[in-house]
Amino acid sequence: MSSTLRRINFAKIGYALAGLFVFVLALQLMKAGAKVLAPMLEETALLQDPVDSLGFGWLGAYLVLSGSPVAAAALSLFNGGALTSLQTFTMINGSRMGASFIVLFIGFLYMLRGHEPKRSLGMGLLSLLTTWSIYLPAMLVGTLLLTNGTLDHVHMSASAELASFMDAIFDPIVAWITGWAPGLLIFAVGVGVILIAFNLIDRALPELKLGGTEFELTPRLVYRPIVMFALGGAVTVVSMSVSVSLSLLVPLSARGYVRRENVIPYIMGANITTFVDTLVASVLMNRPQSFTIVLVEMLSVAIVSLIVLAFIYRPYERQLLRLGSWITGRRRNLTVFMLTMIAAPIILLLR
Amino acid sequence: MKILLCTDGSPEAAKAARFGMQLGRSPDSEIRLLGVVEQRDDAETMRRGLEALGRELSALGAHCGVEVRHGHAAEQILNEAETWQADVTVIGQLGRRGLTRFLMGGTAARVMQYARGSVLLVKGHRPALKKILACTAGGEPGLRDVAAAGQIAAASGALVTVLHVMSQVPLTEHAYLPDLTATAEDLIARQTREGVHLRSALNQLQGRGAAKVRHGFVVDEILAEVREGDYDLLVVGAHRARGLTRWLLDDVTAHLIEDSPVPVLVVRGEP
Repeated sequence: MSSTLRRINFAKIGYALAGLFVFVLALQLMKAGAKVLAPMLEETALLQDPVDSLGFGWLGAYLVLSGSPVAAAALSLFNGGALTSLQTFTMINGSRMGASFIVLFIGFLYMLRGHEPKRSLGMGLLSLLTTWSIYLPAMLVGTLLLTNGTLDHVHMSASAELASFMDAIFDPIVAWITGWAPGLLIFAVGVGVILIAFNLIDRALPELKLGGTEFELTPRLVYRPIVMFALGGAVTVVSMSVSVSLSLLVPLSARGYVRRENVIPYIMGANITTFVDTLVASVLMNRPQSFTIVLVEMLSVAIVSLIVLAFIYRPYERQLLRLGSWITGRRRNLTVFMLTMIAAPIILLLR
Repeated sequence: MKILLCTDGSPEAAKAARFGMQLGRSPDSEIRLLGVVEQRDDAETMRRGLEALGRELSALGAHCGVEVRHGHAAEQILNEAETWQADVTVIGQLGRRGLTRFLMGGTAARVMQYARGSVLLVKGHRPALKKILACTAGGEPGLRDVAAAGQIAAASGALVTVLHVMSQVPLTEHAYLPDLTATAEDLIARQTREGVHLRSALNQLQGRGAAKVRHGFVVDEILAEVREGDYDLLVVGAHRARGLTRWLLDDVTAHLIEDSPVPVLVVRGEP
């Protein structure tokens, strides 16, 4: 066997192909399920407005411990007619905001087991505060873009040939599954299948581990915020996960430290490209507006991030760290914060 | 040490020159007063002003040569510094800020940017040089900055505080947390990487200084220390990387020059 062939990791290619297949299957299942779900949601009046769907996406991310499957579910519900474009937008936003809490929650559990708050919560809290402080104003920008229809002409969907090819392959499978799992269950099966798809895709991704010595000098250096912003964005395109991208910062310091100055813009960049999988899902949904919604999502986060970087970056990072220190400074503050984060999506959904 | 004191003949520039003179109180120091005029007709008036200032400075214990040049201020200062091989160029801060400085540039900013030797930018009103804050980032260049501060302290009788800022945050469960709150004494006693560096820095000062560590954003913590410690001079290095790295790295020194309330000595090359 030639050395080129030996270098090819066939297992990863297998995982990638299987992941893609299962991902598309999950989208098709959720699409079929959403059609059944739409009238039921209308009857129960659970998702009446964008605030409901924000809470739904937020809570959904807690339940499946990830934002991406919920974002894909939001697109399916949009395609099935259960959500408007604005509701889809806020549900995707909610999914990312909820996902940013998961790392913090795991850190909180570590803390309850006796670890120190600063160590257990530091990075998770910084990531959450960065995400929230950008996504909240971005939600306003995105709402304006969607209601004005500024980007309505920017569409992308799978070609007709690809759509018929997908239908030919997936329609029989979906028909078979809908035969034994009718109604509401189809959507739930779709959510389950997409979790498997993301697991397979995770296995297919390259292992982004950098040796400590390669960055021996870098922990002492302070990078320009825009450089770290671009790096965070670029790494997350490949890793498709903010938490995986963050773990890549570890070798930047042999002792598990990275500079405060470098972390926040890195997270800001990662928060934009983390939508790349949702963008792919929107193209495969074959409804052009889906693409526009995800594009608005990415664009609004990018606009707010760039404004912060260009005009108020230094005070912004100072206030963010001050808030983080205040939350972890006293157990009471932290408990109130955690309870608020758990209760808020439920209140939004059931208000 | 060869010190070039630059003036445009204004009272502010004379104040800057008087402050700069304190750097060169040792017997082996050479001081040159440089005035730059835009019109040739102003050269004689400038020379008379410089000679008067020179006499005043000589009365304080320094012998000053005088040089008058004609042309663009920043260009002439940089030429004189290069020709005379000045170790330190002393310049007062111009009043322009914000958009005006961005559009028009500034003599001080250009000298800061292009000078090959060290540059002292005199800001604020510090009547005497008693306390120096020397910031060190680690490695050989960091020690060179401290050595420059030590040389000035020896000449002026000032005391030096060596400051190192740690801005790290833990990323993993394996991070050693005490480092995130450690004092300089802790780090030196435990012989951590920072501690060993601070010990070397103190050795350069031969008993004329103390070490301090702060935790937080580098620029913020340095400025906070300047204010809280009532220092008369801030010493920082300008050991910028070249090529791509130069574009990747943030310019901490530029932020400090912009925001420091006290004079800033930017160290380049050997002190």
